[in-house]
Amino acid sequence: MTPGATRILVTPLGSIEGGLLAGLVEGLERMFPLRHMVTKGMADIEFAYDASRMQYSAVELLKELGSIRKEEDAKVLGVTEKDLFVPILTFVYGQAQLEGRCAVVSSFRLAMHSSERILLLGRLIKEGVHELGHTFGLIHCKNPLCAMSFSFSLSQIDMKESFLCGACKAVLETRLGSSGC
Amino acid sequence: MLEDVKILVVDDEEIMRESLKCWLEEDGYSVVTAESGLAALDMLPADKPNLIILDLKMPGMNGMEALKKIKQIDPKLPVIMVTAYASIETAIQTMKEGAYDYLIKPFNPDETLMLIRKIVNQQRLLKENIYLREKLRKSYRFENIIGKNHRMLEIFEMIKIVAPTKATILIQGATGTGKELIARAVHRQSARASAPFVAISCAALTDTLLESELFGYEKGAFTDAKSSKMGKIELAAGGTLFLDEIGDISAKLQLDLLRVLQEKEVTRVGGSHAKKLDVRFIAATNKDLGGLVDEGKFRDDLYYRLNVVVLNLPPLKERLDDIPILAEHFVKKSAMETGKDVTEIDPGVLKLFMEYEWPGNVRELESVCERAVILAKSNRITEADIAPLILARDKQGRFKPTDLLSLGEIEKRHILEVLLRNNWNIMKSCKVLRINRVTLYNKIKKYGLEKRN
Repeated sequence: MTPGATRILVTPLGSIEGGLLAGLVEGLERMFPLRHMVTKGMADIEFAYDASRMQYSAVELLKELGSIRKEEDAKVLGVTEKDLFVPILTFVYGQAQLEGRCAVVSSFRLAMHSSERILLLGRLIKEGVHELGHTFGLIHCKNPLCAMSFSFSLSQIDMKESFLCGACKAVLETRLGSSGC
Repeated sequence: MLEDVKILVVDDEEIMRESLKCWLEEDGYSVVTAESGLAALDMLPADKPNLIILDLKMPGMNGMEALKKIKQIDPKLPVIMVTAYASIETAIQTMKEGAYDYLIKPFNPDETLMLIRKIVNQQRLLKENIYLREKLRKSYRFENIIGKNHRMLEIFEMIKIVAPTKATILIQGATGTGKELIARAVHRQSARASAPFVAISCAALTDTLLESELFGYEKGAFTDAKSSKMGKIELAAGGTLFLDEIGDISAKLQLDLLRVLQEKEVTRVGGSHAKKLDVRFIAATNKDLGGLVDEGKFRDDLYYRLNVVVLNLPPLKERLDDIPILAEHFVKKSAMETGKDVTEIDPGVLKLFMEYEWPGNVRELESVCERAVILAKSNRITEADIAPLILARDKQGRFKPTDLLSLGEIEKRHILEVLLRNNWNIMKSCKVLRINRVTLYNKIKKYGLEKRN
């Protein structure tokens, strides 16, 4: 991580409800002891739209996020309401550059089967922590309660916590310490 | 976490390779990629992946060809084929060629990770299984003897206790039960292990020859004694002398042996002075030595000298639980000696082994396994490989199952037996069975009977 990069930038990709974004930042701040900032973000993300799949490419969005990142941004997390995919998978809740700088998370599938806003926010925080965790080099955790556990269904997301288990937290602290954040 | 698991992703499309690589790395796997089947084959020896995810449709060497080559190099390496909807038929075909499973592009994330985790877990269990089996196999071994049967374990314990002593040992057991192996184990477990172990079969030699073999002779002791010769007892000085088939020796030799045991000295045939010796005697017999004493055919004083410690070896049919491990050992040994890749035994074969009488005991089992390995057409020993061997060897000339058999099974075995006895002469066999040629050919086909050389 670049020395002096002390900020996690949370940026909306396309339109997203402001309250949801604020709630997400609040949740992330509890887990990552860095300054969090919400930017205006990208209003138009049609460049990432794949007409054949009728989904948005997480790979393209990550590339774009990389280009808007500033020196002081340790990490950039894009947030979208659109359905995301990577070429090899049918869908993803989010995607990150492992030990990289950018991550993206989608609320599209997290909002399914429930109209409860609080439930959606909780899921979004969990996936936000999960994808940002990957940018800090964390891999999937076997502890099903840890935010870094791999979730392939909403029920599994609901089962896990919005924070890291002791082991993952220790790894995160080491990474934060060695990066000078 | 999963850093020890390496996955090789083979796809000609970079975007597919990279997105799968990134995604799998998030799950903790180490991922290497190849852009073609040929490149993947080149990477195998050095990268040694635990799993391959292989795209079916690639230019040059396609996935199917690559799969066949991979399976030639490492038949046990799991390969997941990747395909589009259009080629599911081909994907199923690849499973017949040994692919573990196939995934349709784009993958469903949960199915994919679950599949990979399942394979990884299976691989781990397989490794653990091999390790545990090897560990177990070693624990069933005492010196060169294999056995987990409680009677064998008692014998092993007894050997450990008596081996370090100077006590004479009498080993009793039927032919082929491993009497000499036991004697060798006693020798190796004793302080005499570095000294010679000398074995002699008393039944194989005439009385005079046995005498000169045992005691040696001086020059001129008899017409052909042109020079002096050391006897087996002398050769065993400091070590162990194994006298096999002791029940077959003559009354004179019984007396001579008794003197050796009592005086601990030996006089060569034609010699005039006795030589002091430190030899441990182990005698073995397949006869009822006590009964021979009662009948007056064996000296009771020699019997009591030999009878200090008695080890009774059970016949193989009384140690059924040892049959699978013994069979596995003999198959492995024989496969190594013959250079054949025979590694498995069908459960049906073991069932037959358990039901068979084994009149020749462990030696017969070893011989059947050796021949089955030679006859085996694949890497497995099947019922067809062993049926002619043990059916033909039963004392009564027929199979003696302990379980009740179906009529079909009895017919199959009977037809095979008739064919074997008639050297597969169809006409003769038809005559015995009182059926026509067409019927016999149909039965041979139905039961998958084969003529073996």
